[in-house]
Formats: sequence, structure tokens, C-alpha cells
Amino acid sequence: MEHSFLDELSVIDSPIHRLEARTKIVAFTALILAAVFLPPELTWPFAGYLGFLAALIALARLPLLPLLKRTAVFGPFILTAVLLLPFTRQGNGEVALAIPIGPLQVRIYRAGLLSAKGVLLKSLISAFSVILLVSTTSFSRLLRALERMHFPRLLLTVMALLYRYLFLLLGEFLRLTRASRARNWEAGSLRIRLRAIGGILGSLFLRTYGRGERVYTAMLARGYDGHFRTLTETSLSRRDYAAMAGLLAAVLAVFVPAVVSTAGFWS
Amino acid sequence: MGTAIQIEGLSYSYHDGTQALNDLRLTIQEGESVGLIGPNGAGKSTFLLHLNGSISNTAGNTVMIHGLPVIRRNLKEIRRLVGIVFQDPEDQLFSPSVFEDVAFGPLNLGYSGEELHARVHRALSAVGIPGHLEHHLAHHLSFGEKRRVAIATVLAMDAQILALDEPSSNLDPEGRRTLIDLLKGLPHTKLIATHDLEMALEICERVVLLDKGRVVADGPTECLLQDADLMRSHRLEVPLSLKLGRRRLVEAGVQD
Repeated sequence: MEHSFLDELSVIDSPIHRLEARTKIVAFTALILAAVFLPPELTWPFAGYLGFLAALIALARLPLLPLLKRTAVFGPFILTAVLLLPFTRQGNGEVALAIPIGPLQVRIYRAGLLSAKGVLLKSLISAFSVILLVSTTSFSRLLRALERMHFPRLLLTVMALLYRYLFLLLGEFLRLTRASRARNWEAGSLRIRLRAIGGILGSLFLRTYGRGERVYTAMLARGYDGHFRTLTETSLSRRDYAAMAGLLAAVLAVFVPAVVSTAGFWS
Repeated sequence: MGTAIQIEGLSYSYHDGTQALNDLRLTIQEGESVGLIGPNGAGKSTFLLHLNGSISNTAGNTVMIHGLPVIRRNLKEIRRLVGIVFQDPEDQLFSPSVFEDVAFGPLNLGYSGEELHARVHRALSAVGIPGHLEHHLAHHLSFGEKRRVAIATVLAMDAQILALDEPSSNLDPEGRRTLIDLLKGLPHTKLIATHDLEMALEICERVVLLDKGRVVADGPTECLLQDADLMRSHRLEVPLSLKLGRRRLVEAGVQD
């Protein structure tokens, strides 16, 4: 059974793929933070960042369609906020548009529209940054880089095991549902179907539990003592430092003028 | 050649009271290849797990590996000496890449840098896994490759004893052949728990028949597997190759 993987695009070879994972983590984190703190009144800094990301995507030779599909995963979260904010966020109460529906009036607030725009653009930049990061870095490199950046070890272990076993579990789930469908599960009454789902979930839980025990035994058998030791990975090269400096400079080149222009700092 | 494994009166019962091992006695010399056969539930897997202290409720010198009693104090050395290859490679390969899985044991033994890489590469090439698979996720390997990587994970630790649980299960004939040839080429002391009696015939010069947690027979493989009554009474059967071989001899007018 084939499943798509988080980092299936990370096998492509490109200048971005070749960068050490830490370089990319630092650069994209900076980009996300900068985007989040941009004042939503402006448009050009967001356009600048989106253009920057588009250039990086081109440089990384990533295929566009899978990339957009991944972005779509964030769609429901982004859209919920973007669609609700114009109606709920009143700000100073200034109404941009009032739509009469019978005796009621639906108001769209200017402050809400502004927030919605900010949320939409900031989410898109964040989503693209994260997708670019995981599409150009294999998951194990990412984890090792995070470890060297002193990310909590336990969380990394959980992530590593999740990455390894998620699709195995998914496969088990699919086999269980297929087996129940093979016995005409869909033709049964709602009660029977619900009971079958209970059975599937229960047996999935038991299998997972058993798997956990066996994996732990296998880890102990190879000398695991509760302390995860990891490989010492490649160090940051001069190219990495240069790339990191370049990426951060690009982020700041947009961020600083944008913040200065709205803060009225020099006026 | 010294004694690799010495078991003196090993008993074990599960929490629910099921007696899995019952006063088991067994001695295996260094370099021997021993098949561990017996019906389902005979205690084969439970027995293997005792070899490196994965399961233990006995104190003292019941299980000795290379002269070392399997007790808490010795576990680190014992687990280096005894490489258990579990039945399901998905349980044994838990890392985000093949390389990291094979490196897991050596890392825990304190190896790093060049030596670590050398160990991993040596182990992977010993089981015939090409270098380009190193950075793959185990999920993407074929079943035969997974099983061989699982073997590499213990070879990389310099295990002296390989304890394999059903190593030929779920393999296609070619994968099984590759595995058998691989195991025949490894100089380690081998203990192979299996229902694949043809494989036992090929790899092991000695088999131990386990039933209800006891050793009921122990002898040269071909001799023991030919004993139809013994086989039948323990839910096993004489391998076809032996039956055919004997029939051919009879047909050719040779007394067996």
C-alpha cells in the first residue's frame, strides 16, 4: 500500500534541498515571525514575501500541483477565520457594508476586513514556508536539526515514531475496514455499522498497544536505556552561513521598511 | 570453542498463569546453528526473549550467555552478545531511516563518528542492502529487505549469537532463498525458531523440539525430523524433502 509522505518531495536535488536543515529552519522561522508581525494595513510587504517564497519554490524545483494540494490542507482553518472576521471584528465600529436581510441588518466591519486580509496573507506565508521547509528537507534531517537546536528530546522521539508508524497504522485501519466491507458492512443497519466501527477502533487500539510493547522490547534489545542517542550530523558549511545571511537579509529588507513606514518613527 | 548458551531449569509463566516455559534445559556451543521447532504456543518466542533478558523473572544463573548470567548488571553486555531478530521487522525498524535503525544499537553502545558509519555500512553490506537504501524509510522497503535490515541492526552491534524468530515467514521464495543463503554465510552462533522445517534442514545441523515449555527432543536435524511419530505427536510433520528422499531410496532398492 502506497501512501504519500510528508517529505516525499525532499528527494529532489536543488540548491535549497542541499542546505543544512538548520539553515532552513532558522530562515523560515524568521520569515514566519516577520510576516506575523507585519501591520495588516500594508499590502506590498506581503506581496514581497509571497514573491520571495515563489522564487524559492522555483529555485527548489518543486512541482506546483502537489504543493498547492498541501496548502489546501490549511484551507479550512484559514477560511473559517477569514470568513468570520469581517462580521465579528468591530474595531472602532466603522461599517464597510451593511446588507439588509428582512428586518435584520448584516454588517461588515472595516476593522474585520482588515484583520481578515492580515490573517489570510499571514497564514498563506506561514503555510508556504512550512511546506517549503518539509518539502526540501527529509524528516530525519529535520528532526536531527531540531535536536541540535535543543528542541525537547521527548517530543522529537514522539514525532519520529509517529512518522514511522502513522502510515502503518493507516494501513491497518484500511485493511480492517476492507475486511468489514468484504462482509457487506455497508448493507447493515446503522446500529450494526456503528457496532462494527466500535470493533474496528477497538481492535486498532489493541494492535497499536501491542505494537508499542513489541517496539519497546525491540528497542531494549538493542541497548535502549531511556536515553535517545543520535547521530552527529553534518556541520554548517560556509555556504550555509552565506545562505542563512542572504535569506535573513531578504526577510529584513522587507520587514524593516514596512514597520518603519507604519510606525511613523521618522516623522 | 566455549559454551554460547547454557540454560538450567528455566521456568516462566505469564501473568494469567499460563506456563510458557517449564524447567527448560539446553546447552548450545559457540558456532552451532540450532533450529528451535515446535507447535504454536510451545514457548519458542518466549524462550528467545529470555536470552537477552527481555523477559526475566528468575534470579541467578538460570540463563548463561558466554558464561555471563543474564541479570540486570550484565544486561548491556548480554544485549550486545545476543542479537534478537524479531518476527515482525516493523517492530524492529522504528527509526525514520534505515541508517538510523542500524545505527541505533551501536549508538547505545557508545560508538560514534567514523567507527559508527563503518559499522553501519559493514552490517548493511553483509546483508546485501545497497547503500542507496540507507536513507529510505523502512516503510518503503520490500518485506525481504526489511527482514535483512532487521538482521543488520544486530550485526552492527557485533552480536555473537543470533536469535531469529521465524526469519523465513512472509517471504517470497526468492526472498527466502536470499535469507537462507545469507544465514548460512554468517559465522555466528544461531538459534532459529521456525516452522519452516526445510529451512532448518538446510541451515541447522541440530534441532531442538520444544513443546509445552520443555525440550522434548534434541538431536541432529535430519535424524530428528525423519521421526514421523515424534513429528506427528507434536503437531509437526516430516519435511517433504526427507519423505521424497527416502521414497527414492526405497524405489531404487536401497534399504533405509
